[in-house]
Amino acid sequence: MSSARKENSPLVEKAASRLTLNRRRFNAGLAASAAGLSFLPYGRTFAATTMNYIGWQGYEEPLIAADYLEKNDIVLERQYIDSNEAIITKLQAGGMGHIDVSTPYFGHARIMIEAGMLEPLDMDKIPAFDEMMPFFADWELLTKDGHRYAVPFTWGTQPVMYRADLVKEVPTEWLDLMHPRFKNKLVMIGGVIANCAVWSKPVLNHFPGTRLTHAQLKEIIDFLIDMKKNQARLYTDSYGEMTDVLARGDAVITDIGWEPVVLWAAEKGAEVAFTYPKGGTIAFMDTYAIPKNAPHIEKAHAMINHGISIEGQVHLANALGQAVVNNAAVPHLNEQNRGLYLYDEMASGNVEALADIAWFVPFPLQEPDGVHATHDEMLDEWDRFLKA
Amino acid sequence: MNASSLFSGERAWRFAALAPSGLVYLCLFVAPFSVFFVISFWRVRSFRLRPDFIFDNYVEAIGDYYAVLGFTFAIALSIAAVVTVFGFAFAYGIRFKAGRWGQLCVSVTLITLFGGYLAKIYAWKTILGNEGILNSALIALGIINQPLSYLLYSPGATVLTLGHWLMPLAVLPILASLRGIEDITIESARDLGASPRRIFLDIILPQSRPGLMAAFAFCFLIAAGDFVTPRMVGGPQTSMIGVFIQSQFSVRFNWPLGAAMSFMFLLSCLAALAVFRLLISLWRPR
Repeated sequence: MSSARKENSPLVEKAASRLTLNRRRFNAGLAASAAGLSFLPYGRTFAATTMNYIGWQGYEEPLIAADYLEKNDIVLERQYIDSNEAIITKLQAGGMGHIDVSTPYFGHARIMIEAGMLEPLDMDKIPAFDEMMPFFADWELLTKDGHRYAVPFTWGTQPVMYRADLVKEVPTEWLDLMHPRFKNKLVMIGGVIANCAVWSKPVLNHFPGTRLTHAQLKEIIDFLIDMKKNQARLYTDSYGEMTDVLARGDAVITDIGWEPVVLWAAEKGAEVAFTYPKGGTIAFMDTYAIPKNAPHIEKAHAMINHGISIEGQVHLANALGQAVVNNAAVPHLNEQNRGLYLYDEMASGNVEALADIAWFVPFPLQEPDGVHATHDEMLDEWDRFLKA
Repeated sequence: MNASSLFSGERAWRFAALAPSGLVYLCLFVAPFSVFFVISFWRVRSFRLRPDFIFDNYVEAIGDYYAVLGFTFAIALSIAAVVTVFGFAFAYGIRFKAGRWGQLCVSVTLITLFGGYLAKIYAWKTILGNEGILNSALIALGIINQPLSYLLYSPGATVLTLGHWLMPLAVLPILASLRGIEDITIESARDLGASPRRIFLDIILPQSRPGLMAAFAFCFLIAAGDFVTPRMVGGPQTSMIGVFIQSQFSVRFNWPLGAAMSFMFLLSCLAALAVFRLLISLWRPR
């Protein structure tokens, strides 16, 4: 996708320079990470190469699909995270020079690029990138000085999830979630960026929610505290936990969901659907990147290429329910997965179709501009939400 | 005394015997502890640690988190008190009432330790949930019409889940103390006309103080520092200090504040235990 085309796209105009979005809390990684077991060696055997991965639990699966490790005589040691920031934290705390592949959200990838924490990619060694949907291939935020530092591998949106058999009146507005019929039946999820991005529209009639004045930020957090105290059954940071709660019937609706929850809940025997309230929700995109001074740069390139190849992407979609970025993989996806995402629109470049339901938002400011709250100030306010 | 005599004979043997554990203690406790103590005076900028000597982190830790700390202590004290009382009752039963079944009870207590922490949390979620065993049974019996949603995702669920997990850790030290009480002491008191109540208050309870103290300390410290259980069964109203400390080290990359919060928490725990120990020591049998 050319930059001119970006200018013509409402979605990309909104996304503009520093599009970002929030993060996917993947399944039950909470359990391991919370228990202090975030460094989990898997299948340590005598292989020719031991590589190291840091990222969300499950995000490594496309990298190793179709017996990739066995075929290449590699052992992959995996360190799971419970937040995108944890990638930066762990790399700063000794991971640099040790980790081969990481999975930053594209907003965090930009921070890492600016901080010199990523290796420039040799795109000749990632030929599968040629099949990438143009919308994702053209993200300039993942490049600097003519070099690409990260490649997208998945994306998605964050709609409202609900138990289709228990919610008779599906919300059409975000503020419908505050209706008494959902009292003590709502699951809240996500961090400060996702919540501010989603709720700034319905609460403040303001966009984007990552560019808030301090007063606006306080108003949003006050609103979320009210929701937490008076509506929420649970606040969690795990989509696995969210799925469990919906499947058990402990709650019937969520605020910020994720499409694969439909499939995960179905595996547990629960009928979960999703909807986009008026005004839409946020979208996200996660990437593969090679941290600075990675010990196996050649093999890391090959592994990333495998992750965005047809094999890796089909596994990502059919086994995990996530969205793919590789056009050539789409015909191989199962019906369930194709029903969740706007593949045809994305492949044809009709990004306006996505813009109708979801939008990317800029990453919060890292340095103060005198008007808007910085990322750190947003996190401080988020602590107020957590403490309330 | 010269150097050679310092490291000879029994002294050298003692030193050699203690050296491995001392080394482990130094490397795994003292060294990281010291590092984090130094870091607690640093600051962070752009995801990088900046050496400094400021007390801002302690000011922030105390000023912003005292309410969370208070709530954490309230929950932890509740758990420690409940578990210590029930643990004492169970251990008392094993020591004085169970007879030959006592050893079996001890084995059962030990077996519950093998259940796994997360397995117990999920078990309680299965029991306490809206469609869980308890609510289903109450509805089936016609006692309630709607599930009792407060059973799960509440402070009470945290107390119950952690209490269940910690029970063996309370029973074992108390039982060790109770087993240290000689039968002949109790029989002598009985022969001298002491009532069962007096025997309990004047002999059994005082002599089990070390076990009670250990059980209470175990339960209190573990419950206060836990951040998994409150997240999984505590619901939106159960915010304990461990969650925020963990967040500072992971999401925020604010190790200085996380370290300051950890030391504030540690000192507060020691103070709470000192108060408990004082209360125990002030109590004297008649």
